[in-house]
This record gives sequence, C-alpha cells and structure tokens, in this order.
Amino acid sequence: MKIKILFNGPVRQLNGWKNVATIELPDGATGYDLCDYFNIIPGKTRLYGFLIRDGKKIKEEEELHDGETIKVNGKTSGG
Amino acid sequence: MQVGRYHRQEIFYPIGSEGQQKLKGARVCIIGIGALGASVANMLAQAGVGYLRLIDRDIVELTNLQRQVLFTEDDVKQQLPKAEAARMHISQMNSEIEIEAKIVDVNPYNIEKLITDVDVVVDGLDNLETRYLLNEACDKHGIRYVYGGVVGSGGMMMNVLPGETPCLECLLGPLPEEGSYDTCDTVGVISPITNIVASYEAAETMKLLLDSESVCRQAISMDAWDSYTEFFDVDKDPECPVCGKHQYTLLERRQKNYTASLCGHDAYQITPEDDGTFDYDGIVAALETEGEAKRNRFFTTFKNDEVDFKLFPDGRAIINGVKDGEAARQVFAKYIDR
Repeated sequence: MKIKILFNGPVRQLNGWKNVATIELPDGATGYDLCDYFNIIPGKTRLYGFLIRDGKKIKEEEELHDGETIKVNGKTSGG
Repeated sequence: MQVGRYHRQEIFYPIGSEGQQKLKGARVCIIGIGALGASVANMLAQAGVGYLRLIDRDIVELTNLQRQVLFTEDDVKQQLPKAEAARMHISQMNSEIEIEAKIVDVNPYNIEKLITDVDVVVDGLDNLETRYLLNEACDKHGIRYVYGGVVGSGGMMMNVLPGETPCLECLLGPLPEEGSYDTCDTVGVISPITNIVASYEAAETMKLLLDSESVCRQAISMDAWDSYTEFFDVDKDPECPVCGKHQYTLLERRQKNYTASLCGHDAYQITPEDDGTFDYDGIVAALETEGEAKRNRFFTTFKNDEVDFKLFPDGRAIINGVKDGEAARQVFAKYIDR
C-alpha cells in the first residue's frame, strides 16, 4: 500500500530535509513500520515526536491504510 | 474624556469591562523567562493581569537578544538575572500590576511552593525535564498549565486542564533520556516561531483566566518557516502515569544537592534543599579569602586557580568548566556545602 508522509517542521531532517515522501509498505503495516522505513526509533531518535492522522495523534502500534496521509511531528523542547 | 489604558481590550466583546476586572484579580506564574516567557509576560502585563510571578535561573546573555524580547545590551553588560530584568522592564510599561521576580532553579524541592497560589502556570521553559516535572506538579495540585515549546522553526502549544484534558505526557510520551533530543542549543531557533507560540500561550492564558468557552482543547503544531499551523486531537491516556494514575516520579525524585547539566553552557548547576539555613554571607566571606569573589545584588562570582562558579543567595551554584556532575558536586562540597 502507498502512504503519503508529511514532515512537520524541523523533523523533515529525518527525510533529507524534504517535507513530503510517498512510501510503499506491506498491507497491515503499522506506525512502527513507517518509523522503521525512516530509521526512526520512537523515544530514541532526536527530533521525532509522534504521528498524526486525520487531525489526531495516533500511537505507533496503530495500523495504517492504503492511500492515507500520515504526518510526522517533532518534539519541541526549547523556550 | 480620557479613555483608560485597557479601553481597546474592554470594547473587545469577549472580554469587556467585567473581564478586565477578572484579569486584574488574576494570578499567573510564568516559568522560564526566555524567548517564550518574556513575550508571554509582556503580553499578559499589557493585558492587565494583576499579578505575575516570573521565574528564571539564568543571567541575560548576548545570544538571548536575537529572540528574547524585553532584554537589552545593557542587561547583558550588567549581568542581570532574566527574571529581574524582565520585572524591571515590564514595570516601566505597566506600573499598575504586581510583578514578582524569582531567581531560582525550579526543581522537585520548590516547584509546589512556587505554583500552588496561582490561577494558571505558563511554560517558558528551555528543557523537557523541568516541563515533565511541572506537568506532574500541576496535575497533583489541579492547576491549569499552558504548555508551549519551540525548536528550530517549529513549535507546539497545548492547554493542560487537570481532570479534563490530556497532559503533557499524553502528548509527548515518556520523558526522553537527557541528550536524546535536540534543543535550541543544538539546532537553533528563530524569533518568529517563539513569538507565534508565545502569542497562543498568552491568548489561551487570558481565556483560561476568563473561563472562556473558547479555550482551546486541541494541541497546536506550527512552523514559521514551512508556513503551517495544525490543530489536532490528543487522547487522554488512562494508562498515563501522570494524569491517569497520578504517579509523580519526578516530583518524588529528591536528591541531596540536585544536579543538572546546563545545556550549551559547559556547566553544571547544583541546588541544595532550601531549608532556610544557608549562610550566604558567611560562605561569601570565606570565599573572599580563597580567591577572587565578586558580589552583586543577585549573586557572587568566584574564581581561583582550580574553580570558577556563581553562587546565589539560596545556595544554588553554577559550576563552570567541570567534566561531569560528580566533579561539580566535589567543587560544591569543598567551597559551599562545608
């Protein structure tokens, strides 16, 4: 299945500074598979925060679906 | 007839003169008076919030002037603490409100005392550890907390309303290990995003103080360089250790001489438990015989052949040029905690 990925802000560094990517994942893939694709280890990878789908934060274990758009959001630690 | 200072705000229907009176009677604590905190403090003072407590541990530095409103080159020259410099500048803009400056490090010992007598706490912090601590303290005491954070050109904001909305840990997950995330010191930050996030924080604080129906219950992610703002929902996690189970790990992690690395400063900060017995005058007098001790209104700098540190009246010290926390604690034990 094809998933469109949007990288929000500085987290696009994880995609070679590009904002958008379209990737192919096997049916039944989850947010963890998406993270794997970009070498993201949730909780460990600098900049990575969480995933957003249809205006809602989702957990990495949630299943993804063909044709949908997932946003990768960073974590903001400064002030 | 001369119109009052808040006329333009009072004719704004959602506030009105009744709302203005509410703001006058309101109490807000802002923790971290850097780019976010200084902007928020400025806007809330302009809006006429009657009491502001400004908390920050740092001194104004030249690199702050690129984004931190309120501060001047003269503040840098005078080595003014940020909380005091902000109090001074804001007082010149609005002398009708009460502003209290606290030059302290926020830690498990003092956080509850600092926030439990205010209506709203606003986040201007520069690190995640203290944010997670604040999140726990606000949940424990049922205090409304406005989270805001920035890095690079991106930022986020979310209101945390204990008992109602998800908390910071529901949004960001468990506290990442120190050094496992980027900060403004490692990837930079630009001024426009700090002002955008601060503006949302200030507006949400005003709405919370007025019990407005327009209080935002979503999280906001934004980026000033990529030109987007996104509102999104976050589920309240029933398994969340903080707002789900009310377990306050950081708040209870009290250690003798609390030690923290100051990101980007090649320094460690040590904060002893403040039991009111610290003899600042006595320690400074002893330091004067052991090296070069320079005292001003806010702190004392000390240097000799082996050490270089700043000591504050509450016993907190910033030890420069040490390789790790243990080395910093050894300096602290030898020169301060004796």
